[in-house]
Amino acid sequence: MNKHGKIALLCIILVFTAAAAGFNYDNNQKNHKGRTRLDPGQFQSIGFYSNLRKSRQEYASDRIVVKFKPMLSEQAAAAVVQATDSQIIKKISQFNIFIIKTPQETPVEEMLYTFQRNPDVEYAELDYKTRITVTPNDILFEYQYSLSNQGQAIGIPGSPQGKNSADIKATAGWEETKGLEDVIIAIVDTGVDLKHPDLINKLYSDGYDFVNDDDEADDDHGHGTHVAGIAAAETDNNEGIAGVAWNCKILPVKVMDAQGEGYYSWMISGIDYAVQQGAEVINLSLGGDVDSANLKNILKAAYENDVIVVASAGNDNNPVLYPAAYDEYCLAVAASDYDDLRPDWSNFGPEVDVAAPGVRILSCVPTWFWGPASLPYAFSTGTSMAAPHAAGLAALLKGIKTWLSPSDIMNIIRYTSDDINQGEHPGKDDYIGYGRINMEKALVPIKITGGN
Amino acid sequence: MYKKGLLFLSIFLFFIACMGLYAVQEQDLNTTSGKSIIIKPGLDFEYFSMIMDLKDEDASADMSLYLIKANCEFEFQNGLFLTATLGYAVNNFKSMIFRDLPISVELDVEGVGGYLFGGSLRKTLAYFNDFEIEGQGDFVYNYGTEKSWPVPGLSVSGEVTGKPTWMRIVAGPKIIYGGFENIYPYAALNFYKLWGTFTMDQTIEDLTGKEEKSMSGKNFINAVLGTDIIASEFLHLRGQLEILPHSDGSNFGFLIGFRYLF
Repeated sequence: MNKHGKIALLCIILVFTAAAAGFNYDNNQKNHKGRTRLDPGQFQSIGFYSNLRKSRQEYASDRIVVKFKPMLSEQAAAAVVQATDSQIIKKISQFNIFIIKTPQETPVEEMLYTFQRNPDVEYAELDYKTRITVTPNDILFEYQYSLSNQGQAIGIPGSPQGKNSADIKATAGWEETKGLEDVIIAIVDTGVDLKHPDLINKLYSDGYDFVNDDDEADDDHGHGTHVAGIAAAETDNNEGIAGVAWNCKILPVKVMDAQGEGYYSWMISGIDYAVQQGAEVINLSLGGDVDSANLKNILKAAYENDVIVVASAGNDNNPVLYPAAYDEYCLAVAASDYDDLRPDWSNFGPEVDVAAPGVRILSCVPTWFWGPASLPYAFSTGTSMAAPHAAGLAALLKGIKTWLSPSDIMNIIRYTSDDINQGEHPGKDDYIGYGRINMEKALVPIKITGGN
Repeated sequence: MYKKGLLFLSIFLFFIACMGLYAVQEQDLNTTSGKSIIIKPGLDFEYFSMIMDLKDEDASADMSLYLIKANCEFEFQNGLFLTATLGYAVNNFKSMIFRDLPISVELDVEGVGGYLFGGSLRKTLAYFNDFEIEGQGDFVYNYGTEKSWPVPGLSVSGEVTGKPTWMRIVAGPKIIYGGFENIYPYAALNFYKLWGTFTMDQTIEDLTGKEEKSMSGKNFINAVLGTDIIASEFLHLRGQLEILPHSDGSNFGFLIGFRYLF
C-alpha cells in the first residue's frame, strides 16, 4: 500500500472507530439511567450522549459503583477491577454491585468510561453525593408531625404515634423556598406574645389592639401566639419550634379578648388594618355563625388588594363558619390529624377548600402561660391550628410567585393537595375539600417525564 | 422569536437564491463549453446534544436532538455548492425547569417534534497540493410542534403544553484532503450557535399560565472530522463526527448521510 493509501485507511478507521465508540457510549449512558438496553443497530443508538461533560452534581473523585453482568463470577469481576489498577472496597452481593476505589492518578471520569466500555459490565456510575432534606435544628421540631411525620410519638410518652408521611411535606418544600422577609402574614386573633423568644425577631411591628384600642397587640389569651408560631415561628435557631414560613414576618392584630371572644366590628377593623399595613396574607383562625355583608365586603376588598385570606372552618362538626364560608374571597381550611384522617369535629360544607393538620399541634404560647419554669410551648387542637399551616404556605408561594393573584395562589394550594380520603370521598368533598395541603407539590417543580 | 426566525430564514434563503442565480448565470456561460450542474438529492441523519443556558436564570438544561434532513445539493462547476434542506427533528429535554408557571414543573421528556427548514452553501476558496480549502455556512430553523403532558400528582387533572423553537448557524473553513481515490477526508472548525425558545402553557382547571424560556447553546464552536466517500458513480456517502466544547466540558454530535447523483 502506498503512502496515500495508508493515510486514507487511517482516516476511515478513525472515523468509524469513533462512531462505534459513540454507539457504545450512548448505550452505556442509557443503561445507567435505567432505560431499556438498545441493540447497537437500533435507530436511537446513532450518535453520542452528552455526559462526558462535567456533571453539575457532586460525586466522589476516587470511587465508582459498578454492576457486573450476572454470569460473571466474583473472581472474574475482581480480575477486571485489578486490571484497571482499581480496588474493590465493598460488594453488595445481592445485586452484584461493586464499590470500586479508582487509582489516584487517573481521573474518575476516565475510569468510569473504561468500565462502561467493558463488555462484562452491566452499568457503571459515578458515586454521587446525597444530602438530607432541609431539617431545621429547632429542639422541638421532632414533635411537629404536621411538618414532618415519620411515625414518631407526638408529645409526652404515651401519646399516639403518627402515620409516616401524614404531614404537609414541609422539609421538601423548604428545599425550594423558606420565604421572604418582606412577605407579611397578619395574624388577626387574640394578639401575639410580643416577647416570645421564638417570635420576637419575626414581628413586623407591635401591631394593633382593636379590643383595647392601642398599638400593642399583646396576647392575653394564648390562641394568637399559638397560631402565629405555626405560621412563622423563628426557625433553625436552636430553640423551640419551626414555623411553616421561616423568613416571613408576622403582623399581630388583636381582635379577640382574654376570653377568646370578639365582635365582627373588631374583626373587620383588624382585616382592614392588616391590608393597610401591607400584609400579603391574613390568617383568621376565628369565626362566627352569622353571615355579614360588612364582613364579606371587607374580605372582598382584601382580595381585590391582592391579599390572600385564609380562615379556619370551625370545630363543631357543623357547617363552615364565617368568614371561611365566603368561598370566593377566602381559603377555608378544615382539619386533618396525625394519621391523615379527618377529626369528626372539623366543620364541613362545600366551602371547605383544603385540610391541614389540626390535632395535637405543638406551637408557642405566651411566656406567662406556664410560668418562668417551663418552656413557652404547648399542644393544641382545632381548625385554628390547621389554618396557619395553609397561611404559611400561601406566604411562601407569594414570595416566589409574586405575580400571581390571590385566586391563583388559593388554586395552587387546592390543586396540589393530597386527596387523603379518596377511598371514601374521591375528588373534592365537603370534609377536606381538595385534600390535605402538600408543600412539596405546591413549591417544588413537579417532574414531568415522558417519551414518544 | 418566531418573527426573528422567519426573518433569518428569509435572509438566508434570499442569500442562497442570489448565490444560486449568480452560479447558474456563470454556469450558463460555462455550459457552452460542455459543463453542467450536478444535482445531488440526499438524506442526512444527525444527532447532537448540548447544554442550553437559560437566559436570566442561573440554570441550564440538557437538550439532545435527532434530525432527519432531506437535502438537495446543487454543485456548480465553479466550485459552489448550494443545498436546500427540509426535515424533521426529534427534540429531547432534560432538567428544563419552569418556575414562572403557577405550578412549577421540571421537564424531562423525549420526542418533541419539529419541522426543519434550512440551507447551506459552500465554496472552494483555494488549493494547496492535495488539499482543498472551502468556506461553508449552514442554517437550520426548527419550527417546533406542540406536545402536551399531564401534570402528575394533582388533586385535579391538568396539563402543560410545550413547543420548542430554535435556530442553528454553523459557519467556518473546511480542509479537504484530495489525495486519495474516491475518499475525501475533511476537518473543519466552525463558529457554531444554536439558540431559541421553549414556550410552555399550563392549564389546570381555571389555573392558567404561560412561560417562554429563552435558551442558548453553551458552546460557540465545533470541530468536525469526517469523510466523503464516492461509493459509485451515482452514490456519495458521508460520515462525520463533531465535538462541541464549552466551559463545562464537551458535547458530541454525529452525522451520516448520502447523496444520489443525477
